[in-house]
Amino acid sequence: MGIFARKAIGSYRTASVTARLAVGAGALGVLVLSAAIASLALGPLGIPVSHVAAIVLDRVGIDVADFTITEKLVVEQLRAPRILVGGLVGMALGVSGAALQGLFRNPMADPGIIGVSAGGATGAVLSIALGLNTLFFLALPLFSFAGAMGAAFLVYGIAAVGGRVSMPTLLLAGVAVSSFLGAVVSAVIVMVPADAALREILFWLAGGLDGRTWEHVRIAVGPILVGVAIITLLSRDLNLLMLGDEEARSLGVRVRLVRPLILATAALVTGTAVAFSGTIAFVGLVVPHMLRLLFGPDHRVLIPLSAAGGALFVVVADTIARTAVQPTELRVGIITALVGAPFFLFLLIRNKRQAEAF
Amino acid sequence: MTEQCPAPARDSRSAGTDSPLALAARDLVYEIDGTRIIDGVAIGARRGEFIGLIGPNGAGKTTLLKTVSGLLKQQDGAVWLQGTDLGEMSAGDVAKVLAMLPQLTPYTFGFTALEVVMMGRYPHMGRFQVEGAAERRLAIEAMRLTETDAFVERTVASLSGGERQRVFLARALAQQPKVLLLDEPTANLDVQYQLKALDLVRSLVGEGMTAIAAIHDLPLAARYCHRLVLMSKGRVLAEGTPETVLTPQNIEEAFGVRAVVYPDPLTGALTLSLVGPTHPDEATARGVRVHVVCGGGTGGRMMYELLRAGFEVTAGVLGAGDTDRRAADIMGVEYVPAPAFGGIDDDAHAAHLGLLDAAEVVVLCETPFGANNLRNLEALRGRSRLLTIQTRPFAERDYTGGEAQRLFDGLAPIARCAGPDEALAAIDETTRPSESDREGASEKGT
Repeated sequence: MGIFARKAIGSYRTASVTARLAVGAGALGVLVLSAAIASLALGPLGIPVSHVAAIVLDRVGIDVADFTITEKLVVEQLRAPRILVGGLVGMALGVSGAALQGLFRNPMADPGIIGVSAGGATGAVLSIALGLNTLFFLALPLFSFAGAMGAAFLVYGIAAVGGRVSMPTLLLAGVAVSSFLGAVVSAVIVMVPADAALREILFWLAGGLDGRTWEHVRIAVGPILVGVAIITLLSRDLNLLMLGDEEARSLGVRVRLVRPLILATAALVTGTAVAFSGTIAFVGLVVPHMLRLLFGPDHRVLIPLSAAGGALFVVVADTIARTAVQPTELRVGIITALVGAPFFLFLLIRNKRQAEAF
Repeated sequence: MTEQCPAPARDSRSAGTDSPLALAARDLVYEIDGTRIIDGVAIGARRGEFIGLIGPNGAGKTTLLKTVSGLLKQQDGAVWLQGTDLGEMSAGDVAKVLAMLPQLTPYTFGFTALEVVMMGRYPHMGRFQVEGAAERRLAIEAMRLTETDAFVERTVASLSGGERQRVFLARALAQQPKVLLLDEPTANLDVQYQLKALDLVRSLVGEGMTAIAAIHDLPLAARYCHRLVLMSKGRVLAEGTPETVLTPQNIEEAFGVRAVVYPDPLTGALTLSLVGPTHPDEATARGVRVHVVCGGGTGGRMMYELLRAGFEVTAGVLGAGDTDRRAADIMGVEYVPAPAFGGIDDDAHAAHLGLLDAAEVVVLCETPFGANNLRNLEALRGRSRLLTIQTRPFAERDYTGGEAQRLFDGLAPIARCAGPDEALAAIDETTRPSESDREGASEKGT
């Protein structure tokens, strides 16, 4: 793919932002759509693509009537919400990964770097261990989200001294808080009495999208789309912030306003994603990096494409997780790392010369 | 911040005396952890003026540039950009008017040169606007001016330091600023691009832009800037035309080096030769006067080396137009003047004898002797503590038919040296305090 893609979009270095965005969004749009349709069709119950199409058309009032009720139920109530939650989570992780890498001027940054993932995991794991997750339908996501935001604020609070945020301190505080919370999670796992709870914890930690409903979609869609929109609007500022604070300031960026805004938005978006999917590794790292190799570092291209690319990655990975070793279901987080990491390494080696792209 | 923006000072030198100050600052103070980096600085730059900020490392030049551009917030004092208090302007407002070329170009990741230059257009674009044909044209035009248009597709990271600096200069120009601040714009550039970059700035200044540049290269600053501001320890030590600011006294006070300043024979701009760092002890402790008899370019380096070593130097009768006389003028060496080819009259001879008597050591350089300067040799008759520099037989530089040779043979030099270095060593030997004097004297390096 590397060579082909580079040939196809090889002239990106002279192409305008709009052209690059159009090419990328067009290609990824087709891919996301294809992946979604394939994902609707694939599974323990194989549904022909024509039936999937008929179900979708039926939904918008065109009666083709070439499917069974079971197929309709599986597509509409099981697979569609799961794909949508997966897509939203992927968008969130891809966008916040790209934004944080720009903000920290560091390709190693991923959404977990500001403590959000560890905080979300801690909230979720504690709620499971204490049995709070069974209190009501959305208890687990809520606890996870609270943990994610709590960790992000703690990290930010440590790094923000006298109105200034030191980025290196933020990075170190994120690592330290994440380590601490990781230890909390481990302690809970060791001490949790019930085997059922332990199993649930491990499942959650591996990241999963099973059993997501339209209710989940309805709650996740707001914060994630708003967050992605905010970061997209700030993508030009991110270009300058990537060159440094003084650069950004001297070209008109209100650094003290924009930087906390991006951080908070990234935390919100990631926290929401973690709450609904558990910790899904590698999406925020691999997706922006791949797109940067293909389309260059301009965030006005990178941020929207990372949304689409993240969605694509998670939907495809989840479909693989669902179907690879039937009847067992692997977890999406396992697939993203299992497939994503080697592919990422392959890209790194192939593109050593282009490593300067970041 | 209710102070009024100061009116331009009535200085007749640069054009547009009555135009408002493009950039002004008063009583600026910037401190880090209680250390004052900028300590009560005032500065004013008119429209169409090029100001050079000079001074030693740590004088506060960069901090001053960052403060007047709004990158740093001063603890005290105020800055006005085109008459508006900088504190009341947003970063966006400032970026429309003022551009800054950083001293160190930042790491640019995978951005191409064109992408980086087009960033200069961001302040002028709406939030939902992306660069169109107009922005592209302006960016490429700016790159053409800095001769970086060949790098359009290259990533900035793949360019050399000087090329990168020119790309960032192009970006600053693409910003179309009214005020351009440059922090060491020539530091990474080769000599050709040093001149080209400053020529470019100067021509833009001619079209009404205002430029303030921190420049380490004093001759370049003198050549290109209308006015110089000499900073030292966070304060303005001197300010004005290059001629009033670049005096040996100011240079010695700010930089701690002795320098000789003179107009460059080709450009007419001030240039300087550094004599050496000031050694506070040595300069005063030497107190030894050496007289150099020279002419025709044979004594310039000898005088220079003696000055460098901390001696007081005087020179023998030098005719108008003589190379050594010019050197003595530049270095401020006292000498006895004579008209060109006019010979040495009695007054000049008497004055020369006076200087010779006052000197502890006399050096006779490898000067050719003719009828005009024969009395310089005569004046040496009977001198003790005389050194000669001699690499060839005297006859080769005797244009008097033997008379000079006779005088020369009558001299009794204590040393014959092959050049200034040897002479210096010999003088050192001769003037060193005797054993008994040295007992109590503290060690003093040379």
